[in-house]
Amino acid sequence: MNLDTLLRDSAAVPDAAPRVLISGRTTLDAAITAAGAQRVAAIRVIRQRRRRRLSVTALVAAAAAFAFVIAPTLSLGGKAPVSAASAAQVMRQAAAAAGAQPGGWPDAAYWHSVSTYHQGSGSAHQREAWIGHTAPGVLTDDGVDTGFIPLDEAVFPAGGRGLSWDELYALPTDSVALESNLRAGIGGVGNSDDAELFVIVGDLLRESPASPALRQALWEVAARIPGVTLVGAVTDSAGRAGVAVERGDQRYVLDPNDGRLLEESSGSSAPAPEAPGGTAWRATYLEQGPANSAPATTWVEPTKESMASAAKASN
Amino acid sequence: MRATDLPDTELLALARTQPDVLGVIYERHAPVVYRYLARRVGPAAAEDLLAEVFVAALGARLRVQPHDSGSALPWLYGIAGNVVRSYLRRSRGHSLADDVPAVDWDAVDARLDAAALRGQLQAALAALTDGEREMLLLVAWEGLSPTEAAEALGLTPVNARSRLHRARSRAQSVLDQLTPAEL
Repeated sequence: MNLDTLLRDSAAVPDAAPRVLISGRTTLDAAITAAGAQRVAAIRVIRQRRRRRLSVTALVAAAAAFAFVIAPTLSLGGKAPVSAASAAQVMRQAAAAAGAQPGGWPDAAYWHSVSTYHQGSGSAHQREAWIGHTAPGVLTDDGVDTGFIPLDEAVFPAGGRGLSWDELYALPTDSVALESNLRAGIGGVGNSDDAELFVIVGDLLRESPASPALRQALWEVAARIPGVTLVGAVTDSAGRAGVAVERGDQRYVLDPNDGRLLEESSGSSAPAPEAPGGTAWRATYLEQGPANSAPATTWVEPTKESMASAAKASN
Repeated sequence: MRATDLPDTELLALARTQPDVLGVIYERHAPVVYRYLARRVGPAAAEDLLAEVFVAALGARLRVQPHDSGSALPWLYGIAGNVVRSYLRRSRGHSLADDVPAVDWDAVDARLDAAALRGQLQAALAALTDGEREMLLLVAWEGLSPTEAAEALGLTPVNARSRLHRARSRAQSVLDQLTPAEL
């Protein structure tokens, strides 16, 4: 038998039925929408992947290591040093300080934030985001792409769901009501509900227009999560003084005097199969606030005219 | 006239920051990718895997390098090959480490009219390495040029041509050795 004949005869297959193509497109469109939402929270996506790679053994080992941390002496809010302040005390103080800040941005057009982050053994990346309330936003992140990256409208991740700007403002600011609302939305995401709740607190504080009242409630929720330990006074990578608290591999550096989230980190520097440089990740939040406008992106939807002139130029 | 008129290379460049551009690539190439899948796993499984290929492409779009041919197809075939292997591993209960040919032979035999021919292609292709088999099938079944197949398999064009030549002569010699009774 001739190979070519055999190959030709076996190559004939029916074409895809229209319903097959439509069904595939529907699935793809859902994934595209999710990809757009994930881009809004690129940092979150990076971290979540890493979190899921962590084995139970690694978490147990990490927890055991924390048992040897000696509770330090802290100077909190200009008051007398507090000996052996607990993580909960620090977060409650941050809550009160956050709630005392001015502001609330239910009607702002954009939320602008500047941060740096660092992943594995790679170099530091600069990130600046203009998250749109009702309009598309813009991101620059040299770890993702060069130039301006268009974003969809704001989606703030909270466990198994994404919240719009208005939904963020509709969250209860009573911490008990907030906690049950957030727990109900976890939907099985994360290593455990407590671990995920601790992560959600960070998700809603970073790159988010959360009001002072919501920030206060978030730190109060965090103060009630079991298993959060106090690391102590630290200096973040931007040289700012703060206090570190952590749960599992997730660490927050906060400023108890105004309730700001200064820096967060997670993962391990040990090489992993999928991350030879280690899974360690750290992000430092330099500034955030409301903005009236965002930079224009360089990408313009091609029009008949631009296509024609491009065709002419290439001929 | 919008993104649907852009060539693949520009779409792939845009897709890095505009995930919805994958929808245009789907409209353009889904029928051909479906046939690729149907040839390897049969029409029923191809229905299930079609979306999987494009969803995987969505995730891989940040790593894509536009190909000289100007077509996204070699890239999509490369992804489709991985999706097929992963599907066959799942359906046969193999582990990730197992080497699984990216073809379901039952689906291939179902397309050959004469019972006497069934098993022959499998016998011929079983003599090839995975890379040789995929090279031969991309050219013979999918109608790719050796250069495009090289792109799908991550080879240089020169290596692709010599691999194709090796694959063809080895497969034909196996067919030649089959006894007349088997033919």
